[in-house]
Amino acid sequence: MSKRLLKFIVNGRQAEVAVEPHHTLASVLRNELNLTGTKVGCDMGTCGCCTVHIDGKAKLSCLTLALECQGAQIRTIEALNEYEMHPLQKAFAECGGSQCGYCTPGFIMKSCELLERNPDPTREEIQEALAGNLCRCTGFMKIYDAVEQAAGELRRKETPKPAPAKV
Amino acid sequence: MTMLLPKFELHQPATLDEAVALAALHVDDFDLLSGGTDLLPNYKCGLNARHNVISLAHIAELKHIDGHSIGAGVTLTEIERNTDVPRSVADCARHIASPLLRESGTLGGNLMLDNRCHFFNQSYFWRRSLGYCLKANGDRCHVVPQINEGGKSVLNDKVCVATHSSDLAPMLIALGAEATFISTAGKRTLKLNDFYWGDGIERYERKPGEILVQVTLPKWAHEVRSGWKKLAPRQSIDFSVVGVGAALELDGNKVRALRVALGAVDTTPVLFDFSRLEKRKDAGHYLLMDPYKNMPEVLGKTLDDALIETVAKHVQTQAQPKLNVPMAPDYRRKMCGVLTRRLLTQLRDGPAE
Amino acid sequence: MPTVSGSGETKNEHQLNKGVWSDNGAPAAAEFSVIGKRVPLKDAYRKVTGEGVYADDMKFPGMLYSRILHAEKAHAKIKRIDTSRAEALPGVRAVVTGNDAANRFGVLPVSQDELSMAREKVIYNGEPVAAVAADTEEIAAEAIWLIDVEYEPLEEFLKPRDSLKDVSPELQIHDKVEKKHPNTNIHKAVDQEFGDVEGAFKTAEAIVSAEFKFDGISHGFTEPHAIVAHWDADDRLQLYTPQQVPHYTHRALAKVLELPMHRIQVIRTMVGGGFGGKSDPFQHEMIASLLSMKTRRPVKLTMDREETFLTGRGRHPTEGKLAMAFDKEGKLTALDSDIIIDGGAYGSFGVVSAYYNGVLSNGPYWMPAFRYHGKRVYSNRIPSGAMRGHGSVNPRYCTETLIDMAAVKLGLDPCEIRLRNFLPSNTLTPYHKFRITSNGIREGLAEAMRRSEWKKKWGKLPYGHGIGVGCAWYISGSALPIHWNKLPQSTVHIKIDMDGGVTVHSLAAEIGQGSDTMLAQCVAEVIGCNLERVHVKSTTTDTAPIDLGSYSSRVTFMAGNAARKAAENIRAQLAAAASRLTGQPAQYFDFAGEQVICRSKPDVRVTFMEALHEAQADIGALIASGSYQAPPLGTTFKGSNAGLSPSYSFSAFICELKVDPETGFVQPLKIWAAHDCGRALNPLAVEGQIEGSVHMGLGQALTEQLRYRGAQLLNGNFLDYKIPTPYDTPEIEAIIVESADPEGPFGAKECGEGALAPIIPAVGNAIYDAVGVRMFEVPMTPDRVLKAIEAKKRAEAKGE
Repeated sequence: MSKRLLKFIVNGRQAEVAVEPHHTLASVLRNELNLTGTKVGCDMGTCGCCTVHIDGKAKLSCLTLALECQGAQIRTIEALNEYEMHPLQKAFAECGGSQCGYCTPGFIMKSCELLERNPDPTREEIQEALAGNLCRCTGFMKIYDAVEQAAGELRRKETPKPAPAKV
Repeated sequence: MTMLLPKFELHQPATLDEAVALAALHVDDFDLLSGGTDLLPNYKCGLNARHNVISLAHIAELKHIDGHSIGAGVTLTEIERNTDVPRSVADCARHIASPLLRESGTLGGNLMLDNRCHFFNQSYFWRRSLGYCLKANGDRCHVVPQINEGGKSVLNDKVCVATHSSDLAPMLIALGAEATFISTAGKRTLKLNDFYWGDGIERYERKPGEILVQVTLPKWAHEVRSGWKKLAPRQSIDFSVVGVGAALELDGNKVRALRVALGAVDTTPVLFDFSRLEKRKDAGHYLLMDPYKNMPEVLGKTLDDALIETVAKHVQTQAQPKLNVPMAPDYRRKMCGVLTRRLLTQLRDGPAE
Repeated sequence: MPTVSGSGETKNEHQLNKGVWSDNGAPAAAEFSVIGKRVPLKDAYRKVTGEGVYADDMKFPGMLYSRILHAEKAHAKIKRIDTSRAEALPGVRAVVTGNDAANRFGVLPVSQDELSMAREKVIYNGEPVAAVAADTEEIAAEAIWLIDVEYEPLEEFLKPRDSLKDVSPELQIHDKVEKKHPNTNIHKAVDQEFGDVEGAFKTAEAIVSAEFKFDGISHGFTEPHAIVAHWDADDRLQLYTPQQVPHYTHRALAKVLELPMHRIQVIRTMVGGGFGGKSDPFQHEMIASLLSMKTRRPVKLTMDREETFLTGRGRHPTEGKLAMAFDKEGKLTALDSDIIIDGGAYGSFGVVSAYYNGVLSNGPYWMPAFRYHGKRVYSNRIPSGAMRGHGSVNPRYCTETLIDMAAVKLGLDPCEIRLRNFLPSNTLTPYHKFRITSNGIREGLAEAMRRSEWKKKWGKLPYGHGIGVGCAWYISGSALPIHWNKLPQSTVHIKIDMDGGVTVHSLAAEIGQGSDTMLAQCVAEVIGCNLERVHVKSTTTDTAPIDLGSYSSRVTFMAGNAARKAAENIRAQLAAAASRLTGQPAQYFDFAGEQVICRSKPDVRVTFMEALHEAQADIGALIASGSYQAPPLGTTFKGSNAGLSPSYSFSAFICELKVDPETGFVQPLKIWAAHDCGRALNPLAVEGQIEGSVHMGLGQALTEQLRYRGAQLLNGNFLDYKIPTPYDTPEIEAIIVESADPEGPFGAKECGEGALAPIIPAVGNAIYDAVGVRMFEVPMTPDRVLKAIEAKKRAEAKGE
């Protein structure tokens, strides 16, 4: 049960960490890579706080063995605020979708995966996508508002702009 | 992060052959890991952890899905979104756990789900306080502490009644699915219904070193009406406390075949095959239910409300849920009848819209 | 969302000071520049990016990890503790037991009954017995199982009624119990009777009564308990803790560790939800501190979810028998209530809980006669304490259900009978002399009725589909502090240096409710600056003046007022500077939009920075202090302090739902939640509090319960403790009612707790409307609802 070298790409950067087989992705992200934005609320897969993207899919990092991510692309909440704050992050703040904030990274990562799959979700689709995340503060209403607002902003951003004139 | 996993060696075979070889090597001391959504919470509680964990997550051969067969490594999300499998199967998958758990959880994991009991699914601290149970570290059952043996009430140190909470298992059994396993001894295919038997510890028949490869659906499964109903305290995240899957073949308005399978009320899924072709392997076990006891005649009869009620009553009468998962047994038993009636009515009449 | 105007009068000192509205009554929200605006919470951007630091995110050089060994017995003598095997494990740096700390503590001075770790005996399954600090978490986790504890079991007290019995001293869970019942396990008994209760019941037109039962519930905050303690090189303790009340922890630490308070600094980390569950000083705070003092190393202690449940302090399991009398007009004439609450192993806030369960039934209706017998008992279960809506929620369900029953008896609409009984504004309640200031409950109920189309729906929906109402009130902060002294309840300091940043120091704990933002708004409004300029420092006891923290819904009212006063002090300095710069009299300046403007000559103005730099000439940074102390209130009888508040919030909720009559499942369809918060300083945050309260209340109403097997908690995890998921949460329409309290900052009252209680009876009463059964047990789980429906059918079949 010795440590093995885990090589993967975390938030666009190559990372190499020596981990033991029984270490979870959540613990490696938080303890070894210092990416503490990913939270652990229940440690058993029922609250969704630890959600990260593994190869583009929103998964629970508390129930994923780190070594199972060998070679994988991992994206955490920290990646969404590089160079520019992600519209979901802005919207969660502006719409009151975050109160105590502990569940927020998980909600945002799951919402982000939803919007990448479905840029224009209905409120029902948002609710369905978030049905594995628990928030104790907001009653969910303002979280749905935030996802809707961010979806709108992302769609506007992705409207193709005229190609820049060649110089 | 405080629910620490016990130490184990992780094996990550890339092919089924490698996996089979590893399973043969560690024959008494391994667990299979697929999505990890059932195994890892149990490991975090210190429940029957093994020294070797063989991951099936990197084996492409297990990830095939079409209308006929579903690989063991196909995720519940993939099943939910698949349009070739019967709608009832996709619908059943869609109601398991939560979107996050379904993204990791697989068919194989769902079919191999460890049985659940509120004396078992607890932390080491909790179980140590209680004094452990038959299913992990202990020598007695706390749900059914006494059993009748030779006319005498004695300590139950034999039979575990932990509940089998898989949803896909009863649904696929109702559809007549078969399961294919592989080991160094070769492939073996059997009726999924024959796979499950025994008490909450035994719960299925897996030969040493066997790995589930896929589940296949007969053509019949696509031709008949089928559906799924689940009862759980919340509309997401929770395990079923009653699940009913049914496949119904009508000839006009007469029943040609009817298979109803119950989940989450016994140590295994329980099939009520009203053609009486498939039986429960361990029928007659006095702590477990017997679907064929006093089973009403259904075949060839008109599926009117009265017949549906008869079927529902029978299912309800035979069901023996125990007080070991959320919601009271008498209530869950009643709900077996209600859900069966509603499901059969829906299958007869078509969707409400 | 549109807001509703309430009926309150505004005589706000601050508004008078501002001069603009002095003769015109309540100003419209639009006349404020910062107040009343939908402002994102000041710390939200740190939360949405993952930058915010919670205790478990912290790492210090040389940090050790701690785990606690919890009692495996519920009531037992400790015969022996042997820590030698644990100490011998490589990597273990220290082990502590009850022998390391003899002093008892507790949040209330009258209930100092908690030990850092058990000594001599354990009193609940889960009580800390020993703890380990080790180089890694894995070593610590292994080491606790090497501590050998030998117990000698004692009789367990698991049903609250068993705790009423006379027992031998050995079987008393605590030495100190209720004086009136010296040989029992009764912690506190409250007996109050006012008015002619017997007479009212004799002459009543309608009498309604029932027995109720409530399971215990838990706060279920998302961040498990986690702390870091560091006994530093200066021989000072630094404790990083997500505390709602850093000040009480500060006091308790000083007592337990026998240190002067100034040698301890409590630093509040981000708080991942509290709801009352992080407002006691805690054993784990003592334990990590003891371990750090032993090792001189930083010690982190993070609990798992089960340990967090075991630490407890949730809503008391409650049993009550209540009766109400009404005259033929539907006027309430008396309430008689007899309630027993299960306090579990410790006192916690329990003395207050024992009072609140009775006295907070003196509203939101006029109560001509009142009798209350309340008992809080100790038991060998997880300690109960303060949880959102502390002490008022369960009795509120009882009274709101009874009022509905009375409406049926008297042939009245349930909303109508409530309208006939509401307390007026600007009044005192008859016996406790609770000072009711502004009261927008009538407007709130009317608006909820209008939006829900109540009159079209109530009594007219098909079987299985129903609508129900529930009303409530709540304190805006307890008027009497827990520690009796002459200190103000809230103090706020402001410092502005030449950089123009406005630093606000307070110990009011930002726990996600938005208190930092509220403080910043109050300051920015008064000195007319932009919100971005204001930086709130509310984490450390070294720099922040004492505030009694985030509980009893006190922060907006009390800390908000302190901030306002401090800002007025700053404003006077800025006005004097503007006067010097312009030659206009200082009292003639208004402050808005980063400008200091002469009221009579609006062209004469200076910028905020110009005024600031002038004001700083010769003195440097501007500093100011403001404080709040509740005015003398209430009356003189013993125990009359409980329930006193400078102001009360009011709420009226309507819930529409469906009941599946065959499965008993209840599906809420929509909630209209009208809450009178005086003035919504930040409507975004107010709506968030209302919606969050409704969600939490729905959990208690339908799915949440602490289930036990004997003395052991069965469901200490988020799979089995059923917090409503997105699917289980209906659309919630928050209706803000503004009544402008005369004393609250800019007219504000509380909104964080009062909005929880009414949803539970609104659900219960809607179930009655849907299927004709009354639910006397909460949560109203499907099996309970179905049982009630079946009982009704059987009764009807018998022709009853």
